[in-house]
Amino acid sequence: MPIAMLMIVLLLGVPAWAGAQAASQPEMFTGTAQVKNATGAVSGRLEVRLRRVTPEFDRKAVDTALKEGGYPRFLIAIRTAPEVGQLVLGGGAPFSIRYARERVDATGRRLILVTDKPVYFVGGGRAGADVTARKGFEVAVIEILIDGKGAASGSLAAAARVRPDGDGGAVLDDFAEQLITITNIARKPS
Amino acid sequence: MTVNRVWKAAAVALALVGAVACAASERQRPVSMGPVATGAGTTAAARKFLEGRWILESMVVNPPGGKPITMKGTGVLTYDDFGNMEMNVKADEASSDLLRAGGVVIPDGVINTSGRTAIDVPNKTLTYILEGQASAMKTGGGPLSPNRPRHWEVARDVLTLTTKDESGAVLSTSRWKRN
Repeated sequence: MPIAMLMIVLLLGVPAWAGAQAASQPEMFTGTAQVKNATGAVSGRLEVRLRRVTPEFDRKAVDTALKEGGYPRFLIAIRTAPEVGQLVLGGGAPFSIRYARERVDATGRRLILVTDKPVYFVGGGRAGADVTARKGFEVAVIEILIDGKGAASGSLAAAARVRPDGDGGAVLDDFAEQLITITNIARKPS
Repeated sequence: MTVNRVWKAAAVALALVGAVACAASERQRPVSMGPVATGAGTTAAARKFLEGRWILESMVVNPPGGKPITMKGTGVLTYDDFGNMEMNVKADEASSDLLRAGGVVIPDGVINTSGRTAIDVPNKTLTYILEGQASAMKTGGGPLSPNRPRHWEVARDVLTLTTKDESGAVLSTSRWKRN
């Protein structure tokens, strides 16, 4: 299976994110996660329960770990960070979100969330799939964008790995051929 | 030689042969090791005092170079008659954030340490017996790391445990009340 390499600059260490965090209020996002391939599409309910954004100390610890120690230390830092929310797919068991960061500016709001485990291997469960190919994809990354009018869109890399891009950001490798799109996003305080 | 003496000699000879021929078996009888010291100031007395369940009253952590952190939360400490000590502390979110920033390993607000402890009565310390030589990295190395001895003080039914750094500065103080 080809692995998509998505040049998503995570908020890691990017100065533009500094000071742009909104007040941390518990909130819940619901939506429909949909993945398509050449033969069809599968969709399911997605629920994000976000208690707060990641505290500054832990955020810096994760950022530094990735910059200085690469993916292995990033994983340790993510798993040491406190749980700040949960991701539930299709009514299944919740996954811990241990990294949550947001940016709010004139164009709207952007949330980046990282779980401490992969949540789904798109295509990895089909007959004949090489399960060893899953190795190394140890987190999931969600992006939610809310524009100034309140319309939201999002994407999910359900099994991913990250690495420093050498320029203060991070490159996200997705196990799947393409990101899972999140539609019909609704937000409510929780 | 009288008949009686012959029988005695035969019995001794048989006993010797038996002792040499038989494989050694596990000793079944208790072996006296002398009287166990149980008075005040002994290890046995210290163990007896510690035995039971203790409820956390307060905990203050002094991170190196930082302000003291008064933890808000709950905790239970149990010490059994085999010298096993288990400490379970659950801090609230705000305390947990401060403690983590102060170098305390506290995943999701929980500190759990458990294991067999050695009592040093003259120095009034409890030390976890860690399997292998766990490094500071493995055990966290912070103020509440299991590889730091717990200095104890007792006053009636309150147990005070402190951890110290290499220079003797107090890193943490916790007060526990017997339950």
